[in-house]
Amino acid sequence: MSRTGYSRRAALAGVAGGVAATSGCLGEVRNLVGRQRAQQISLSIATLPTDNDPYALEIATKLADHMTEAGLDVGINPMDPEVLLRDILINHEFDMYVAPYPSERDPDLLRSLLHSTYGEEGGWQNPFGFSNLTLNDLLDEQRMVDGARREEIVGEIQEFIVREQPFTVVAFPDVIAATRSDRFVGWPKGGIQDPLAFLQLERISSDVAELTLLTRDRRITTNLNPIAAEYRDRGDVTGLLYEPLVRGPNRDIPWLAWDVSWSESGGLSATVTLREASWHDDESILTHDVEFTYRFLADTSLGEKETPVPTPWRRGRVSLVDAVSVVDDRVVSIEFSTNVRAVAERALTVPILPRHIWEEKSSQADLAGIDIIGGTTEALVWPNDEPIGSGPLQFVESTTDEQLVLERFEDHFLDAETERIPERLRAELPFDSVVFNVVPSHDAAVDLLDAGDADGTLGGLREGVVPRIARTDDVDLSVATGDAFYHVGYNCRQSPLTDPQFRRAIAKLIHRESLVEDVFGGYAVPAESPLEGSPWILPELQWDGEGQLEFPGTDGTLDVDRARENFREAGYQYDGDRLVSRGDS
Amino acid sequence: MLVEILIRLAIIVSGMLVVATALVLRSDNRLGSWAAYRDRFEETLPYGVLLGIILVANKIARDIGPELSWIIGFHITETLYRIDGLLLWPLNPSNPPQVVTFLQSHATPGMTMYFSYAYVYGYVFMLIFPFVAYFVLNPPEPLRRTIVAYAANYLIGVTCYVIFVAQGPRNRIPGEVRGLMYEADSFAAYQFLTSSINANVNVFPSLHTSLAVTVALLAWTTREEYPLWFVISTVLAASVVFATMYLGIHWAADVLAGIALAWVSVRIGKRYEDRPPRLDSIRRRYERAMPARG
Repeated sequence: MSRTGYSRRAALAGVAGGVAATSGCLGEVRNLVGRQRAQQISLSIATLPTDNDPYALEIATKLADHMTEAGLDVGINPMDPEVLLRDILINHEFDMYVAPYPSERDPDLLRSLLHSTYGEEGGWQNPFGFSNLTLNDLLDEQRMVDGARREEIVGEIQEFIVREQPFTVVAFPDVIAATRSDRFVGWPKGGIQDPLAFLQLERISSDVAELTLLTRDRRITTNLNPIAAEYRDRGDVTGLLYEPLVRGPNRDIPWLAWDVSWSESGGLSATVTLREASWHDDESILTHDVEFTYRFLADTSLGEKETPVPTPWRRGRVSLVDAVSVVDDRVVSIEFSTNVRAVAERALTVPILPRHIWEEKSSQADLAGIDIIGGTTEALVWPNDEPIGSGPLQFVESTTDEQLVLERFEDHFLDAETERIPERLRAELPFDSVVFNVVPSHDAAVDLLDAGDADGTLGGLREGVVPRIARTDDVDLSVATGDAFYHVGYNCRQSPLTDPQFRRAIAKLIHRESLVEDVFGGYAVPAESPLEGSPWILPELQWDGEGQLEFPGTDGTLDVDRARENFREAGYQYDGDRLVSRGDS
Repeated sequence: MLVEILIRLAIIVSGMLVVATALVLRSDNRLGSWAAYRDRFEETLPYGVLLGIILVANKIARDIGPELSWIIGFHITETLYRIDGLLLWPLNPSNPPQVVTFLQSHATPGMTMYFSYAYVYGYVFMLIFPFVAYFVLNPPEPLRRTIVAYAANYLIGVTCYVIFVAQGPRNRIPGEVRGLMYEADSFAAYQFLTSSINANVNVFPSLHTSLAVTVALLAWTTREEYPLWFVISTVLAASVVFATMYLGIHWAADVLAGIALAWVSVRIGKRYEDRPPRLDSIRRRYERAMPARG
């Protein structure tokens, strides 16, 4: 950009010099040529190809069309999931992107997403590079208070997000699943969506030994590192291998912890008593593993580096822990940085890692002995292709891009002790092994199910296969509201996306109702707040058919003049049909 | 699933080969004796080994290629998309349609079926049949020419796949273009086959196009011996070429590059039809050519 600018200016200067020599008004020419010519604003939207994600690219395409009509130069770059996530979450190399965010509708997630101190970290920690002190204060405060006050602050945060648009929420897609009931029953709505759902299936007869699930996510066949951000969404599969202290949607099922007792004297702390349990390699799970996990996730270099290298995954939860001290082999005490128990509980849901395996992963990640990037530890790049965890299933084998096989872990604590475990989870595992088969498309997944070659799907199917499922005899359709939401992310580190006015003008180009209709086939809930559909939603922001930012047009048809007016009002200029800006864009 | 598909593919293609053999092959220019066949086999062996090595290297490169090319390759999806949007300007100079969108706008279930068959069965058949036809043909050059041309296709094509990262139309303009074949009821499972052979970012150039056109161009060189095969292969090649675009798999630019690659590959095949290419002879030729260019 700067090179062409320079040569163009040099050429102009040459011509101008000639003109000036004949006209004699050198001053005016110098003033004119010395100014940079305004260039069309050019942005690239990174997203996922249709083969990997059914909706993201179409949302990106529709947005790009509107942006092009508004006079921007827009390119679309569809990339494989791990490549896209590496670019946006770790390298921060993007202008804009469209992707789903693996949300849990918890307000504290917004702190990780938007707190400016996370701007340089990898993972779903402020990938936008957004930075605002007022918002930082709100984000910090919401985890320190409880009740109505927290609700109020969370409402303010939502208002702030909608006004400043560090990212634009588009919609929460439904989770569409296809299942068969001739071998297993008890499928939850939307199919299996969390590790506990595996334990609640029931087999039709004791001859059934294998559960076969179909997925589009081939990343699980090459990487099972529970903290590798570019390979994990919600970590449903690694959640079967690695277990937290407590589980469940309300975090009320003591899991590796047999007991958690809370104390509020001198700051919030919890005394955790572990169950008798062992790792898949038969080592006992001891409190030093728990202590190690929290120390390691906070700094995977274990203090070896000047700057800590925290986990890119579940970073927000780890930041809730101040200190962990081992009382004895079974009892550990955890001090929290918040006084609110409902917030602190989230810290107990991170996967506990075996110290004897992960301790040596604190070394600098290198390529054949050469440190090529710096600031990265082995723990973040290790594929962990033969994971040792503590879960009810253990790793058997995987074939790249094809298959992952897990089998029942005989020594899991559930087989010996089910105290304090809810009735529904106590039954013996309904299978001896689980096979995850990677399918090339959702259409192929339905065909395989129809042929009886699998029991169900994992991860949502695209809406286009619903009629195909309906045409089959033995495959059941099941739809549930999803927690993940599609959003447009802006790289707020670079002009003109640094400007909230500019981001707002772009966000206005998104017409959610028509996207839900055309792209999601109705199988999605439009939203402009990331907490839509949760008890935390600010009533004024609850989706009622129209967003706070008005779409310049009617029924999804853009009124080009109005769209351009939005950019003009934001202080941008047009050169003919092109939206232009001076300097680099 | 993959096994079932392969069996079905083998049965259908074998049937096509039998019919084509009966129709195309004539007795007057065939090798006469078993001894002649054995000699043919022995003299073709070095070419076969060469193709074998390149196919194995090709498989390895396609497995590791995408990851490598994500890191070092040029991202050209947008370029291909924009070229595709310029080619049909005579139809509508102010707002030309995308080539692929234009083709799919005329889609019918019958055409989808025909082009899906051409893309899967027709393609495999037309790649194998030249081996049968040329193996039994009296002069040995056509067979060698074919093998070298195939090898050149793979070698150059896969190199391009590493250098260029791009997504096909169905992964760039999904609202307008769909993966028609994979949505057709009886063909959805074929994605198992195609995705196990190739990654979705290996689109430029279209190897389906280049190999199909290569076969047709080779058939032109043997039109005296097999006039009917020239007709059949031309029709099939045209079908495969259209299918790659109609089914939303390739851009027009991939196809044009594929046709260019086919032409180059056949040229290379003709050059080396007397003796297999060897590294030292290529180097000598290169060194001889250098001063002339300089």
